[in-house]
Amino acid sequence: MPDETRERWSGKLGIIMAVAGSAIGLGNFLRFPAKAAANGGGAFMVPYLVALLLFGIPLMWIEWTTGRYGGAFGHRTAPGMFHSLWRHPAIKYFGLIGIFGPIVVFIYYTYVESWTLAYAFFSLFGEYGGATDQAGMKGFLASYQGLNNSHFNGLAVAYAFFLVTFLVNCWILFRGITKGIEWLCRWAMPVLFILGIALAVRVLTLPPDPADSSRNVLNGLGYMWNPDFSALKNPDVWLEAAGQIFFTLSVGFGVILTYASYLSRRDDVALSGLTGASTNELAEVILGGTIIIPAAFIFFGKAEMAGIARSGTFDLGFVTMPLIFERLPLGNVFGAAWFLLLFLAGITSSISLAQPAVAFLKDELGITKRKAAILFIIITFILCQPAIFFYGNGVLGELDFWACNFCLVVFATIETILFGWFFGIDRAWTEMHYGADIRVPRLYRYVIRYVTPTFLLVILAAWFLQTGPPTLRPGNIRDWPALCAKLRHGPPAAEFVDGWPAPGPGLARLLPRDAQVAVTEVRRDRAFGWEHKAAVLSGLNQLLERSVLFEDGVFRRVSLPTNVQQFLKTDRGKWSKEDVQWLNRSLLQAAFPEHIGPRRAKIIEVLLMVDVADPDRPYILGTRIMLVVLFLGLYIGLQIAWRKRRDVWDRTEPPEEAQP
Amino acid sequence: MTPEGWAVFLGSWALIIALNLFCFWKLLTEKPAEEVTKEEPSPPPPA
Repeated sequence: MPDETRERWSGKLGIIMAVAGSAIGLGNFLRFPAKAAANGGGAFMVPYLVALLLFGIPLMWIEWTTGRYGGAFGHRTAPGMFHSLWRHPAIKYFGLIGIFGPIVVFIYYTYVESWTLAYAFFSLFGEYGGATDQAGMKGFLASYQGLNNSHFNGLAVAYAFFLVTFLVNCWILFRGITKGIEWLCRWAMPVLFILGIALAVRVLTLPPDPADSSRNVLNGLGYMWNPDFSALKNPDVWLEAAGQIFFTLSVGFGVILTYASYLSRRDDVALSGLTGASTNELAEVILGGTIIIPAAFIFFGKAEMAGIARSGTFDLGFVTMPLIFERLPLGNVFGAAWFLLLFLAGITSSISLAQPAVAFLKDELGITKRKAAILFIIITFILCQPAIFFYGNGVLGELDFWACNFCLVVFATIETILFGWFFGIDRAWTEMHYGADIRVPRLYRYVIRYVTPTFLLVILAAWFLQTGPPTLRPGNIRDWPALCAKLRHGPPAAEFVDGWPAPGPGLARLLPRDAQVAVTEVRRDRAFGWEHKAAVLSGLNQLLERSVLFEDGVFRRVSLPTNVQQFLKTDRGKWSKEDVQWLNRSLLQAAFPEHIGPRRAKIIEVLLMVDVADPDRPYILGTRIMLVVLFLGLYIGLQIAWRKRRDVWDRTEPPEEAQP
Repeated sequence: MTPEGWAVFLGSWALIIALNLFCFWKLLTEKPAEEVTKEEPSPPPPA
């Protein structure tokens, strides 16, 4: 075994900073405030803190303990660690998810990270192509991403920033654990906190809008923190909070397992795990909850906030924030500081995502650190390309789904059950407390054994119980020609309450021009290909977002389900964009029950993306094939490791030097 | 900002700052592990 396998953290603070660096990412500053504001404001903190206590912190302890325990057996990655917890021949294959997931995130995260670096430069030099409103800034971002040529001619600029970001990641990878990751986190984390505090102070001292004094920082904080406790009745709010805890703590990836494997057997894991989690919460709740939403409130006012809060993570960070900084004195400096903060948060996370794969190549396959880093860089550089060049075709979203939704929850569920049940809670508890600087409350024995796995199984089950988004997918349409015919003429009279006559012209008049043409093509018996279907579907989805669809008269007398009728009696001023989409989708389903199918389970809706009518089908399928090939490669690597290091895998106790 | 908003805002801040102070105070004043816990390391897993 090469001597370099004995790499260790230089100190306790080193690994805590590294774990906190891994956990603190773009999600702390963009995803958390957006989720909180859109899901009950301050009330969101109730499920959020419950999730933190019942599975965030327990999962931290599980991963730190498993990592240190597996590391003592000579394993740095989940397959070997799972095998050391439970000697079942199949369990190591489930551990592959703990290498696969981080690679998949790495291959698109580095690209998103490079946007923050680019925007730090754009901000510093005031180069936003003259964009002064949301639409203009969205156009600028889309152009940067290669989706249009309004500001950038192709992807050259974006690709240059990606290369710089990727090279910085490579350089840190080459330097290894102590000189690379620990060195980076030791200076990047304090700088990140200083930048965060400076930005938070700037936002909290912003003067009110001179034209409207209600646009002040207190009302901005109120928008973020005033609780709407009625939101707690909605199970989706609880699931959103649980999901946020997952993303923010970096649990369920396999990264912490690898980091903790470099601890010695006598090092504490109980206090270190808790400190890593609490440092992340400091960045998320204190800084993340203070910067973006209050600032947006002052500059855009309450009327625009609902749309901004629901606009998504990328739009918040790369559209809303640049507009805010453009209007601030010294805005270019604060803007550059904001994007530098995001870049540091991103790079400390991306570098941690590379570590399980590099450790697997180095320690399980026995190749040198340098060769392992080179191999990882070559493979991931190739795999990054589809996410960059086919961003507009949904490749990045597809990678994100499989890595950050599917792998994360499945992996966390497996490791929790393995730890609490197969390794055994008594041994797990003793192992967790060996060398511990704090005693974990005994209540957590029961939380780890019963509550955390139940919580995770509920999240898994929710995929099958929760219906998918209200937008129509190709697989929801049962009969395209018949639907198009009815769209032209309106819903048939038979579907109307009390036989009221069909009102006025059909829905087709409301569709965009290309969708109207596609609907007409059917009447002329021309070939009805996927281009036509995509146009009709896109047109219908645009209609779903119209708040006036119900008022247009087309659906006034359609027989509606009871839940829709009850919803129509609620205060329309409080309807969100999703509510309107849901209502319009329900209207369409009620009007065309034979042609438009019901919404299915969330997971099924995602799989329907590969429907024949989806114009992005080749890209989505290609991405899925790429992921299958990657997983097969890891499977072959594991088989080689299993044969090559059988003596290590067969160990029934840690080697002499790892013994306490 | 309503009184409930202030309560949630300050309560969340207090909880998280207190947790951080506790963790870093423990880290900086740590004692040798053996003095804190008498637990023995777990036995090796069954073959």
